[in-house]
Amino acid sequence: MLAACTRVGANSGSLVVVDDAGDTVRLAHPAHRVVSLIPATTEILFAIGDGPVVVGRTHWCDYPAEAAQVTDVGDGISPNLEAVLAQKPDLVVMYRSGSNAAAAAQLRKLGVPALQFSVDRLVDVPRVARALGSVTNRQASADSLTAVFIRRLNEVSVTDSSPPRILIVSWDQPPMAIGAGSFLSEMVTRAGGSNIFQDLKAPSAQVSIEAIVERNPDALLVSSDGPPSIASRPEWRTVPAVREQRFIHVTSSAFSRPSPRAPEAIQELVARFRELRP
Amino acid sequence: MILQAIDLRVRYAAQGPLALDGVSCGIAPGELVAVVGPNGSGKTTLLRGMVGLAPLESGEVRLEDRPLAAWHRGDFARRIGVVSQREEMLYPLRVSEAVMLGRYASLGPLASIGEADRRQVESALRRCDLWDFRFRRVSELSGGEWQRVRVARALAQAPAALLLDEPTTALDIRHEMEVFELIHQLVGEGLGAMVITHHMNLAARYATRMLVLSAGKTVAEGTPREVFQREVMEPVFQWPLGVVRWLDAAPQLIPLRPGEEVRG
Amino acid sequence: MLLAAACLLAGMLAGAVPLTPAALWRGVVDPSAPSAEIIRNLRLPRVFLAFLVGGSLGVCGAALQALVRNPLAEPYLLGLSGGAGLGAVVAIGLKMASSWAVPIAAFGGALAAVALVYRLSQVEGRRLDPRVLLLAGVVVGAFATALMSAIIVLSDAVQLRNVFLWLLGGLSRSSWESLGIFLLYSIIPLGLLFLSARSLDLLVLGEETAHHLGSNVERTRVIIYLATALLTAAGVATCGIIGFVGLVVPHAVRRVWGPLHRTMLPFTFLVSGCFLVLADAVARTVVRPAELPVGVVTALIGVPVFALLLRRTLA
Repeated sequence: MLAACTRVGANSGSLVVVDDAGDTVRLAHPAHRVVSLIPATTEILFAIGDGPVVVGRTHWCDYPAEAAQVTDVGDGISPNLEAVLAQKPDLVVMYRSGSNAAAAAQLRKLGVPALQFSVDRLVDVPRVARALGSVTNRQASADSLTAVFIRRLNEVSVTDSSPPRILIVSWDQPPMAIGAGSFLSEMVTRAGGSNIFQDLKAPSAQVSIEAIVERNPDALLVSSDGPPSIASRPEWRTVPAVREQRFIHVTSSAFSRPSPRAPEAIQELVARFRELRP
Repeated sequence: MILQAIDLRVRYAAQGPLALDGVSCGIAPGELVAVVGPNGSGKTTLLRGMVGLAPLESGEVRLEDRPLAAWHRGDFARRIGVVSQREEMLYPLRVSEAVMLGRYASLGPLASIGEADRRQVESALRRCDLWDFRFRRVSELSGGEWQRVRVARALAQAPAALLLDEPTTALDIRHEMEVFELIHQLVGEGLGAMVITHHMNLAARYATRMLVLSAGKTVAEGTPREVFQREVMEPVFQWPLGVVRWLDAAPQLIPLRPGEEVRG
Repeated sequence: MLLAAACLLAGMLAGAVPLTPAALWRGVVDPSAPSAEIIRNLRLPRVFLAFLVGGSLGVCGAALQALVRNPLAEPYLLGLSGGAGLGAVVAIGLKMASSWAVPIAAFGGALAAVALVYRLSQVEGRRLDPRVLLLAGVVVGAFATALMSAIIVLSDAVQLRNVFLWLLGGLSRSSWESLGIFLLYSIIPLGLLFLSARSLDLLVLGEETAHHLGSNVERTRVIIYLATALLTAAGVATCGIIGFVGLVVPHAVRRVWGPLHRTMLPFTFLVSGCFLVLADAVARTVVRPAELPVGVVTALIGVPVFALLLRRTLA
C-alpha cells in the first residue's frame, strides 16, 4: 500500500492522507509537532529538515545526534499514550502493527492524527519520505532526498559474477537467519553478495543449523543487534566460516533499519566483501 | 505382647483438647482385641498412635518390646499389617497386583518378586475368598470386595499382628461374618489382632478382650462379659441399654426403646 | 526396543539435509564423505540428545504424577519453567559473553524456583505435602514468569525478545558436548528414579497406606522431588522447555503396560524418548530450511492424543 496524500480543494491548508494500514487521516494544517515512534522516520524527518518539528521520539531513535535532544517518550511498539500526548503533538507516526492499530485509533479519537507506516524495505525510505514531506510541508526537501537516495542507491550497487555467499545472522540460540523479506537482505544483494537464505520469504526465521552447514556461507554478517558471541557455541563450529572466524561485524545503526544512510551502509558492505576475496 | 501402647496422650492442635488421654492397649498373639466407643472417642487416633502416624505428647509404643523409634519402617511393616478405614486407588490395579503390594515391605528396590512372594499372595487371596477375582480390576469391585482386597493385602505382609479400622463397614452380613471368622481363624493360628468397630455385639462374640473408649479416655477394659455392664456402657453411649446373653454366652447390648425393660 | 532403534534411525535420516540410509552410514564411518560433518557433529548428537532428554522428561512426569497423586502433573509443575525463564532473562539481559552463561543461569533459576517450592510446601513440619506442592509450584512458576515478563518489558535489549525463542528453543543447541554433559549429569537422578519404582507404587496409594505398607514416605518424597527437579532443570538448561512429553506419555504407557512402575518407568523412558526424536524430526523437516520450535510440535501432537486418552478413560 502506498501512502497517498492529496490536497483538498479550496481550503489549501488541509490534507488527507491514507497510511499503510489503509486508514484515511485528515490534517487541518501541515504538522509542526510530530511524535515519531519509528527510528527510521525520526531519521527521515531530520534528514528532510524537519528536525525542529520532532517533539517526541522513541528510546531507540539514535540518529542523528540531534535526536538525543528530543524528548524520549518510551517504546515504539504499544506506545505509552500518556507520554506521547504530553508532548501535545499534531501528528503521531508509528510502525504498522496490530498493537499499534489500537493506539492509532485511540489517538484519532482524541483528535490527534496518527499514521502507521511499514518501514521494512529499502523502497519504503523514499515512499515514507515523500509522505512525511507532504504532511509537514517540506515536499521539496523530501523530493530532493528521495532523488538523491535513489541515485546513490544505484551508484553504490554492484553486481558480482561470483557473489560471496553470506549468512545474515539474526540470533544464535536458536539459530535465526535474515530472509529475503528484510532490507538487510536487499542491502547484501546490492552490495554484490548473496543471502544464502534468499528462499526464505520472511524477514527472519529460525533455521536448522544443518541447513547453514549445507549452504556453507563464505562469511557471517552480524549487526549490533545480533548475538554477542557465536564462535564459542559448539554446534556453530560445524560451520566452516565460524571455525575460520570469517565474520563481518557491522556496528552502525544504518544496519538496524532502512534509512537514508543505506547507500553508505551498502558501500561499507562492498568494501568488506572485497576483503573476503583471496 | 507383640505391639503395646503405654499411656498414650495425643493432642492434634497446639491449644486443642487431648484426642487421647492416657490410653494403654496391648496386642498379644492369639488375642483379638476389639476397640469400641462412640464417634470421636479416639479409636482411630489410638491406632494411628500405635503405628507412628499420630504425634505423641506423652506415652510410649513398643513393638516386640523395643521402642517404636528403634524400628525401621520396612521392618515394622513386616510385623504389623494395617487396614485403615478408607482408601481410594488412583490407578486401578488387578486384585493380585494390589495384594502383591503387601509384599513390597519384604522386597528391596532391586529384588524381583519371587516364588515365596507369589505363594504368600495366593494364600492371602484364598483366605479372603478372592482367588476367583484375582484378575479383576479393583475398579470393578464392590465396596465389600475392595475391603477384602485390603485385608488380603495386609495378610500378604505376613504380619505377626493385624490392626483393622472398621473393616466391615459397607459389607453385607455374609462378608461381614466372613471377615470376623477369618480374623478369628488367624488369631487361632497365632496372629494378634486389634479391631476397631462399631458393631459392638459382633465384637463381643469374637473378641478375647475389649477396650471401651469415650472422649479419649479408657472407660472399660476386659473380657466382653466384664465390659458389657449397663452401668458402664449407658453413660458412654447415652442411651438406655439392655444386656442379653446369646447362644454362645456372649453378652449382647440392646438399645432399649422408651418403656422397654430387660430381666436377667 | 526395536521401536526405539527404528525411531532413532528415522530421526537420523530426517532433517534439513535429507539422507538415505546408505549416505548416513557412509557419513558415520568416513569423515571425508559429503554431509559427514553434518551427520557426525550435528545430526547424531541431536538425535541422541532428543532421546535422552525425552526419556528423562517422561520419567520425571511419571514420577511427579505419583508424587502429587495427580495425573495432570508435568515435570515443569514445580515452578521450573518460570524459574528457568527468569534465569535466562537475567543472563541475556546482563549480556554475558559466555555461551554457556544462559544455560547455567537457566539451570540456577530453575533450581531456585524448586527450592522455593520446597520451602513453601512445608506444612506442619511435614515436607512436600502433595496438596500444597501443586499449588506452590503453580504459584512460584507464575511469579517467576511475571518477573521475567516485567524485566523483558522494562529493559531495552532487543535480545530479550529472543529469550522466549530460547525457552522454546529446543534441540538446535545440540552438540556432542551438551550430550555428554547431560548424560553424565542425568545418570544419578535417572538411576534414583528407576530404583524408586516400588516406592512410587506405594506413594500413589496415599500417604497413610504407603506408610502402612512399609514406605518411608517423607524420605521417598524428598528423593523423588530432588531427582525430578535436577533432571528437569538440566533438561531445560539444555533444550529449553518442551511440554507435553512428560504429561502425555506416562498416561499412554499406563494404559498399555499398566501402572506398576517397575514396568512402566522403563517403557515411559523409551516411548517418550522416541516421541521427542520423532517430534524433533518433524520440527526440522516440515518447514525446511526453517525450523519449528520442538515444543510446538509436541504440543500439536500431544494435545489431541491427550484428549483421546481422556475420552477413553472416562468412557
